[in-house]
Amino acid sequence: MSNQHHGSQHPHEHGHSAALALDILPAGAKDSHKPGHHGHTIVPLRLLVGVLVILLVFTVLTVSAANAEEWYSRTFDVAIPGWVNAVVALSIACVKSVIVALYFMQLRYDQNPMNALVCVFTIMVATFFLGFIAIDLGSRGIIYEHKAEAITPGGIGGFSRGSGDNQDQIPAGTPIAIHARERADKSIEQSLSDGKPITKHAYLVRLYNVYHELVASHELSENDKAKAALMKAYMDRNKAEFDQIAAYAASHSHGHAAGHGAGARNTANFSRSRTGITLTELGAPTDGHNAVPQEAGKETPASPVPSH
Amino acid sequence: MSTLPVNNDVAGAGIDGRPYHETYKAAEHFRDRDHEFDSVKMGVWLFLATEVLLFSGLFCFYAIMRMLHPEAFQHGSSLLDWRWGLINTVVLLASSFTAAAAVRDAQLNRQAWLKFNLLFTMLAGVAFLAIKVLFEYIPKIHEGKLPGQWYDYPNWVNPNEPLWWSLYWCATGVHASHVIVGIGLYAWLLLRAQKRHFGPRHYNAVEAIALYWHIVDIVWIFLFPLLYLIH
Repeated sequence: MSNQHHGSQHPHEHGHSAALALDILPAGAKDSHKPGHHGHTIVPLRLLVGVLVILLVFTVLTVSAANAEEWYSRTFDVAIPGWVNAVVALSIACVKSVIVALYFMQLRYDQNPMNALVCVFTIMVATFFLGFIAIDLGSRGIIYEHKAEAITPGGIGGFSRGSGDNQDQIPAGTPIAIHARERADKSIEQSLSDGKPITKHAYLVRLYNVYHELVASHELSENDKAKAALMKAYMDRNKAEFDQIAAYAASHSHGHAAGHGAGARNTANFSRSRTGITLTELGAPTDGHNAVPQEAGKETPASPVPSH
Repeated sequence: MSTLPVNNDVAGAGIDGRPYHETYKAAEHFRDRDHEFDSVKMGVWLFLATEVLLFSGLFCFYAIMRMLHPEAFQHGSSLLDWRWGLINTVVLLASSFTAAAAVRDAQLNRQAWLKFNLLFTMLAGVAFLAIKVLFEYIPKIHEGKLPGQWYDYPNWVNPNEPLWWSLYWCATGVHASHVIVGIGLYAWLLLRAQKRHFGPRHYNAVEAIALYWHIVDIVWIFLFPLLYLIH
């Protein structure tokens, strides 16, 4: 690639006639205008276009890799560990960045080695950051074995300040996510009691979620059991629509870190299952209408709203 | 030195009516134009280092939260449409190419192409932002997929999903603010190119701002798979 250094096209060697006369050097300064001493490389257009094409190919590659992995996992029902996806995506991103830095940012042609030094130093520091995070989180399981408490749902998602207005009396300190769901529930209930129309889909989705949350809770009161039975009956009567919702939910649940059942501690680097007990344990009939895939290692799917 | 004609004109015509870049003279504290060019470039690289450190904070946020709450991140990511991410990636890569081509045009004194490439880079930045705001930010605001305290999206799978949206808004927001700054810088370059400020003897600003634009591109090269393609 040394032929890319176009000494003859040295931009500072052109148009010197009158202009160079203005560049009077201070005493003792070296004249760096000797030809070839300080060439600014003009990157050939061919090379720039080639780099662009390579970058676009890598972009398509990273998208296809992610989609192919998802397709493979779904079609053959194979649980691909989460890190595979991350490693593939990040490797391609690293290659792309290096190409951009070398050719678009001209690091490859820079006369000043300090630029590359700054670049390497920066990458090193970023690697330290991420490396120490990996060491920290990777070893927490050992500590949590001895001292962890179960993490409450939404406990880390932040807490709401609560809202005092009449419509929405949710106490301060409720996890934000729970708050959001309660608001949606209340607004649906409010709309129903006011006789206002809500979309049927919104109602069914809420029902599906609430049912599975009931089923997932460890200690069901008699009242909750009765409620769940009513819901189950309703879901069975409207089987077709709930099957659709369940199919969407199932397509969004991937096999993930099997082996951490209800008794497993909620450790930092382990995938947590939301279900404490299965429908069978609850005494629900497994009549095929039960749309929840409850195989080992699968999580209970929940949110079936395909909106973006 | 004070007896020399000082080129401080801003109207575009340099000394003796020649274009600014032909008579450009390095600032007095530099040995010559090469010295100035190298110093400018290294200064920009040092600035880019601080930019990378700024974004590494967000990448650390991502690493920690993804390791702590993999389901929340999987489901959050599945609510993004990777097609918009892909289109925006292509837009930014194309603009990176024209940014590099603009440097080349200045080096070769191809004034018309220089202006075209600067304009294309700027418009690509505008297109990136428009796609982001119209097809991603506004629908998400309506659905309550908002960071932290403003989160109001009820159909979560994992209760830690507000963290995902916090990350999404912080990372894309900080990146988008860099794109906005880049658009302004390219508009400024375009105005100066219109006055024939850049040419083979002087293109420091074109080179420096192209470097900045490339780092914005590199950040997006990482953000795109991390946000849109994980599952």
